[in-house]
Amino acid sequence: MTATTQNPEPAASGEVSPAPWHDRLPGGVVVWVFLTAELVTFSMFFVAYAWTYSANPDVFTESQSHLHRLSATINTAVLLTGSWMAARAVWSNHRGRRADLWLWGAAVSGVVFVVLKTVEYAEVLSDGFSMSTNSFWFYYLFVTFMHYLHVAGGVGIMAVVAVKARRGDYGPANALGVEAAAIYWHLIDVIWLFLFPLVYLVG
Amino acid sequence: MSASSPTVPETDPVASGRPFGAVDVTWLALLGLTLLTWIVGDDAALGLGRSALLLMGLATLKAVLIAAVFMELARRGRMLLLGLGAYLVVLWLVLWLILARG
Repeated sequence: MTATTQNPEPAASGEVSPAPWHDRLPGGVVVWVFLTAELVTFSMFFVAYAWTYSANPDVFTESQSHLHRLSATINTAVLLTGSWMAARAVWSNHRGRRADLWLWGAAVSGVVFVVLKTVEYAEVLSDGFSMSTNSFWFYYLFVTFMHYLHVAGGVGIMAVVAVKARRGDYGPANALGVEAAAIYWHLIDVIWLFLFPLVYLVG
Repeated sequence: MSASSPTVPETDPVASGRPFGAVDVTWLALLGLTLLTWIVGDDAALGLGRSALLLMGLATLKAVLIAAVFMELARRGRMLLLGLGAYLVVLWLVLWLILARG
């Protein structure tokens, strides 16, 4: 481990000493700038989708009926479970415990999401739908694929951070990498939480 | 860290050593809200306006829970949580207003 400190121990008075990460913004400032840019970008996609929907409600409702709502609901639960594991990784890292298994768990949840989504894309494309079919399929394929790429990238980030965590590169005094990876994973989750009802359910 | 820094609160898992914490309870709550989202989304009788209001509201609630607990903003970035929460509520209302026109 490159930098280590002991976990805070209760003092004689019953108080505990400050943890090194406690007063700092989780993940550092840079990741929050990135998160803001991503959130604003996807928000614009959502607003554009809603605007086009309101102009063509019949086309959107009919097109939506070809999607698998249950599969998307399961994918939501999968991503939320990955987010929980990422949060647990941060929690464990702060305690000086192993975080790598939680990080691998989050990465596996991302792989499951990608596999289910790939199957969904294959079905949609084999049914003859494409970005040029109508405005719903354009938004569906474009926005969900953008999110899909973010999840695939997140799997890679989680795997790299998990390997580094196993190597002992992180700990209570050096938590930034684990926190930043977890914040990115939560961002992917937050984006999907809006995308899921908007594309699959509203109507 | 300055001498005036706050100590780790007793409820902090690091200090308390509890095996389960807010993170685990929040995960279960999020799964429950996802099930509720699916049930509401499957109710065709609601209409576009009501379903948009409810479904995007549930999404906002889940996103704020993630920000507060999973991202630890409730303890380590309350102003950021306030800003992010306000942004998500505005997004919810904007999407609802646009969809309700349809």
